[in-house]
Amino acid sequence: MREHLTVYLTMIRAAVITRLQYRADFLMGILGVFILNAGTLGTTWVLLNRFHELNGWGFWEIVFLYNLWLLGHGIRAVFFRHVTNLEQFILDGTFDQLLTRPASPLVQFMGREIHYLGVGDVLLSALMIGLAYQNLALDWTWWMFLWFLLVALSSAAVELSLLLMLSCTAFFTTRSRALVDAATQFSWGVVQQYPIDMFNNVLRFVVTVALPFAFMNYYPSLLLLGKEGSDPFGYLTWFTPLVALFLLWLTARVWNFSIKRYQSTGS
Amino acid sequence: MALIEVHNLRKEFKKLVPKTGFLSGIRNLWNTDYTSHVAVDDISFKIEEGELLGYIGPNGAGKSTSIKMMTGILVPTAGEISIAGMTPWKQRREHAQNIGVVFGQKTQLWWDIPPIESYRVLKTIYKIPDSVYEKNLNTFRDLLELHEFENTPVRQLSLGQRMRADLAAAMLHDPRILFLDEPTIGVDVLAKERLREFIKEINRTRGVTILLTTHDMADIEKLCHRMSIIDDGKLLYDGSIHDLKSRYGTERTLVIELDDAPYALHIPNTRVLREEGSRVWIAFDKEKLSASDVMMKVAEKHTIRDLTVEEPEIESIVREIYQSGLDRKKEDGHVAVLDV
Repeated sequence: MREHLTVYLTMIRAAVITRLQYRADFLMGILGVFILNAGTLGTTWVLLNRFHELNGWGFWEIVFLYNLWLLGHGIRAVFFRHVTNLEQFILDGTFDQLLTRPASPLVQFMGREIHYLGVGDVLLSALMIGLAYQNLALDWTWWMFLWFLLVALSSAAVELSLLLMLSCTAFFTTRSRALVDAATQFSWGVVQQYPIDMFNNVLRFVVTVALPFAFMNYYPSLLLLGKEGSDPFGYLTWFTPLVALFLLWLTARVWNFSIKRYQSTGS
Repeated sequence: MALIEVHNLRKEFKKLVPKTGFLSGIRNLWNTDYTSHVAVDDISFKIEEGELLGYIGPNGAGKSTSIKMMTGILVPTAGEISIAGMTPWKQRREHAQNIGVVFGQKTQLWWDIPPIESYRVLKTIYKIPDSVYEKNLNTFRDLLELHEFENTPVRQLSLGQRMRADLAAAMLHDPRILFLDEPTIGVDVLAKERLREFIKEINRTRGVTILLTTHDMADIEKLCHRMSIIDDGKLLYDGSIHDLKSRYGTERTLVIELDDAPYALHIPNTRVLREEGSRVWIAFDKEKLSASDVMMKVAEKHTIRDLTVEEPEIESIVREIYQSGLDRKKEDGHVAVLDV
């Protein structure tokens, strides 16, 4: 474990030096994120101004929901944005090189890149969550703040796991991008800013069990906003960190299995 | 036991026949239309410690696939590989510590940062002790003149510099075996010369066993004593370059400059390759005729002003071997191993 950490940190160092070569990207990236997200929130605001609430969720609650998603997504995007690019790593031979080195391919792959873009997401979402906290007059205990931090990391872990598992199809078909993009779009379109109890059971099953993106924001928000009673499945909010851990474990299994397949089929 | 032993190695690829059109990316997930292709077909050879072996073959012959199996990237369909007593894909990490790999087509250095920063990462990954790291780095600074560009981002390096940086990267952890897959590809003549010097040097002074693939026969001639020719997944030749030349390269070319225009040069067992003004190229088999026989015949009708005998270059021998492989394929519908 310590060895993995050493390798990971050394690689992250190289990744940071890489990013430092493109300083202008940093500012543009952050600016871009603000504009992009202002657009999304603007639409929500217009929508809610008209209907006042969405299935029992007011404007600031939706803001909280959306920004918890953005926080998890942002943390994931800073360190693991390139996981969806696994296909390219395999096609251009970079992945083969990882296998010729005496270190875990997963650790090497994870440490390959970092990205600024996520920093903007993290900053903006932290700010918006703070605003929502005030406007909703929330009053968390200290352990609730700790829980919030744990939930934010879980949110990142859920997205990382799901996208990496889907990307692993690249080891079988060499093409995984279409599938990963479809899943990402799905996460954006369905989970990101809607309380999922407004959807029918099929869709709800999909985002809870099949592709549990709802554990990025909806389920953890229930407890943080004191709404766990509003949903018959509200108790799932307590399982958020466990779901994240389970998904990480499953991802490691899927990864190892896929590499074995890749080494023997070489597709 | 030899350092590298390869027994009846075979690798079969199942290639997916990709679907096209509507939602092709998703439909491909349960696509099961495969075609089978044998990339490496029952290859066996041994490499002793300290050897420098040239491993050549046309594109798609199975060179890279065999290297991928020897470096632990791929698992063979059948057969065995033992390198320094280990099976590459079973003891991948221990094996990786023993080998250095350079893919000429693809740098293993971080593209946007200077080589020296990449070396630091490799130092951690390979757990290279400080003293060894410093010593090796200084040696390579001398031999490869790394200091010229070690602080420049890799993307700004010339191909020759990049290859030098890559070679140093592969050698930092003192590997016993070096796999060089087309290390001179696309590099200019001077830079090639420098790379060859380095390869020769580390083979000689450090006793590093080297397996080299290339399309440049000059690399082979200048570096290797032994070479293996692979085509269509099969080993066509494995032996010394000297033997290859004497076995296949019995054709000589006599280049004669005459006083007058060449005519009536119908000498049995020879062929006129080319005529250019008063100069003529005559090919003959040195097993059947001697150069002086040919010369005398010409001298009967012409005055000879100048002449030279040309030995075949290894390149033309190899071309002939590839060609005979191709011809055989056409004749029999399959390729038989050359009788060597």
